[in-house]
Amino acid sequence: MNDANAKRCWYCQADLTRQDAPAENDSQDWLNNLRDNSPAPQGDDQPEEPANSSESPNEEVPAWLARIRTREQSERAASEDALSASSEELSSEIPDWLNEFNPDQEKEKPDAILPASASAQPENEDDDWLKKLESWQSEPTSSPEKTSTDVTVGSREKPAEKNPIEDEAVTPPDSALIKDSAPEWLQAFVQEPKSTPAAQQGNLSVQQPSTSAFLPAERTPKNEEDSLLRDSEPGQISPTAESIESSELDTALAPSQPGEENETWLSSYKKIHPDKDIKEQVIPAPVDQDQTKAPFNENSLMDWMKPIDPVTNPSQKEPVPQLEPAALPAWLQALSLKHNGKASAPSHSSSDFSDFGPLAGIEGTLPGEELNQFYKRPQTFSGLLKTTESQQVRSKLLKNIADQTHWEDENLEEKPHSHIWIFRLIVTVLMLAAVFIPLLFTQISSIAPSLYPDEVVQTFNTVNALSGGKPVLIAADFDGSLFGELNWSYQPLLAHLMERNIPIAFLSTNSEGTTLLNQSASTLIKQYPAYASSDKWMNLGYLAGGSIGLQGLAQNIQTTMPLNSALQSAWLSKPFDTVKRISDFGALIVITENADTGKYWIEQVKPSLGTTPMLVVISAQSAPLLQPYYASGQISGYLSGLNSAVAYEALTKTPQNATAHLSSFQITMVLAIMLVLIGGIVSLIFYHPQPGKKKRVNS
Amino acid sequence: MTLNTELIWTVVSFVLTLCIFSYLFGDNPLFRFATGLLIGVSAGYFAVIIIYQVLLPRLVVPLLQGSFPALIPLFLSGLLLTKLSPRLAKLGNLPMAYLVGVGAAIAIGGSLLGTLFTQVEGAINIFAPVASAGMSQKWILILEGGFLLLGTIAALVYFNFGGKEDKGNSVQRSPMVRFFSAIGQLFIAITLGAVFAGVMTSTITALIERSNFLLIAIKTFFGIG
Repeated sequence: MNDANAKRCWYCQADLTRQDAPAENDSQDWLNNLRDNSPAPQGDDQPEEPANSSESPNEEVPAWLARIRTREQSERAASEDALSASSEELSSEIPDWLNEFNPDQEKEKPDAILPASASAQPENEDDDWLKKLESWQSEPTSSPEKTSTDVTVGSREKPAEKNPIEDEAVTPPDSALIKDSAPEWLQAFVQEPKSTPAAQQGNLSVQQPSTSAFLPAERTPKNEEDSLLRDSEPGQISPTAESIESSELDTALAPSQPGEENETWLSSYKKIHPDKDIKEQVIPAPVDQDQTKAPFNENSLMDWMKPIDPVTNPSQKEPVPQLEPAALPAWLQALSLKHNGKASAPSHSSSDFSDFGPLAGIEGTLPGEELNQFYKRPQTFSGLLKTTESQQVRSKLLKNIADQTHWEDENLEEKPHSHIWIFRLIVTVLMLAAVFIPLLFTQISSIAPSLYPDEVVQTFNTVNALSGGKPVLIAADFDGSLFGELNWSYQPLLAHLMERNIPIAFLSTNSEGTTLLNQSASTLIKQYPAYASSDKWMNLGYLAGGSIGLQGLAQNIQTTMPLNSALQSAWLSKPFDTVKRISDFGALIVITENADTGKYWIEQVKPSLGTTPMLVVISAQSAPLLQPYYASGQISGYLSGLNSAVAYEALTKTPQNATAHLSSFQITMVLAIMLVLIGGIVSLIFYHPQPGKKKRVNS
Repeated sequence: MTLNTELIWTVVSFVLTLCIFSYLFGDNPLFRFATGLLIGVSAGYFAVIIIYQVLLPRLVVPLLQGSFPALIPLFLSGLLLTKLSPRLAKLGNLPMAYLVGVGAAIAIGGSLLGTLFTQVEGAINIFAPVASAGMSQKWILILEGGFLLLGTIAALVYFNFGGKEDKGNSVQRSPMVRFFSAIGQLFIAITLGAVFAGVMTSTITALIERSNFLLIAIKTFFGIG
């Protein structure tokens, strides 16, 4: 409940100062004006006739245009009413000193204080209507009919029982009067509600009754009777099109039954709760667009503005043609494997799309596999490494050994070597000089070896012991990296075999080996015309499988290598038709630069050779690793590097490339040894390991 | 000087050799070009060799001749190709297991019979010639054999990581083991030095061979000699 001294309603912001309300006579005057514009008590079934009658006969305006105009006028009138309602509030807020400047209002003020009983005691009147309001709020739905009667504008019989709020609503002050009397700053307030719909929403309790005030005259029989009485009054203006249209507008905006409308309005007013947001309780819910009445009568519209009815218009019955499916350009279809040069609409079957992977959903891509199937939960292991005591002891021992054998020259790696390229260039020039000078000046003699290595001698003896009828198998397991060294190393051996007219079959577990050997042998074979004229040189090609292939070769050579490189039968023609097993060869010679390769041949093939000797031509860098196999008797002999080749040439007394380049080799080797020694001495003199270095390593 | 195939290959070899020698001035595009060409040509040549010397004579020709046992390697090869597909990779485990198993068995058998047993036998037979040698040669053979035996045992002891934990929670080998391991370390160092000398010998020989080729090529280009 509002306070007795409050000037505004706490719930609806309505003005509670009754003495500020306009006088009855004044309200009657503007009410009379409203009555002039109010709709006549006519039925809704004749809305068009007054409009047509109100129009000038000379002006042939279409009905729809007339309706638009009347609607515009009605909206303008409604907005003016809302503005007048707002201006009433403003007028109530005008101070007394400002009201004194308005003589008309000053004169009408005593008359405006309504009934005589009420005018004598204004305070009591306030109390009365407040009590009524209180009692009315306590029983919100007890007497809806009475409430509707109270709100009715045309009910003049009980003016004293009017609700003050309703009085405010139904007796809006003349906005023009306010505009004239109010100062400029106040006129701005007067115009403000007109331009802001939100403000109108906030004053809904004031505006809505004013809208509904035009309606009851058409609804209730009593109001209809009053309307008839008003119509009979002199000077009463007959209902115009504007009034009729405004009534239609109100009818469209208002509920069909005025009593229900008032009841709804009052019920919404009664439901206002002070604890809740007043805006949420006051602002009505938005009206569904489908339920609103169309502003135009379809019958009054011109033909071209009417909606098209496919039933009445046969031409519209034709089905809408389907859009033609898109097709790729011809040149793009020609590129597409799917279309294959035939223009057709792209199909969108599910098989054309990849459901997985980054290309999912893109047409024409290969279907991807679901990667989730390859992901498995990783096996978890314990964070602790379970080791036995003996393992821990060995790990500590290994750590101690590793700490003792650290590299003390690690600090050298950290030093910047800005001039290292100079040293490299000097060493290169010296080395090239040592190589080229003996080559250019052949008169520089070399020191020929007087003692021959035992393995070389054994090799020579083995080859010398070979019978002329047995072929020799050569395994050329080397690549091009050390071909220069191996070429000079095996040339005296190969020449020795050719000199003795021994048939040679060669193969390789390396793809390049047979090719390189065939190239060097083709050059060498020119020196032995008798050997070149016969078919004693056979290329068996590539032996696949590594150690497995070697085992197969040792077990059955004819099955493992049935064809030669020319895809002809290898073991049918002479002199190789005598070979049934690998032991049928006169000797096995392995040419390799890798000690492991030589070891595989020894391990896999040597046991199958029996008494057949096995010789090895190996690079000098792998010779120390092959020495134990010679010492154990597994191989009969071997040649390693240029020195062995020179020795073999000396034994065969056929000096070739090895002997020709021995001087260059010896000078270069001496130079290399000197550089190593000088480097070691310099390092020993100028390099001092830092004391902290070892501590860091040991730590 | 006639333009023949040999001369063309000589020019190509000459240019590529110079490209390799350009590494003297550090890594450069010429060196990378030559090494890349070597790798690419080797790979391509290997593929051709595999096709013409393995697949055709050992798989295709037997199949065309109606050899049914050739279906077995064909089937296993097909399974091995399934390794390319993650979904079907399990099917390739069968030939892979066959290859690994057979390869391991052959390698282990060869190492045992061809290296371990024979090397042990060779170490034992070091002193065999002593019995048939004369008095003057006997001591030399005994000294030589003893030296080889010492080196073999010492090298093996060096790779024995057995020890005892002392009071300071530090593991130390016994004094005898430490003594022989030091000797073994000496033999190993000598062996590695010999290997390093062999590497130097091999590379110097290769350098001489390539230098000789360059010199011959230059003489050929300019018609000298």
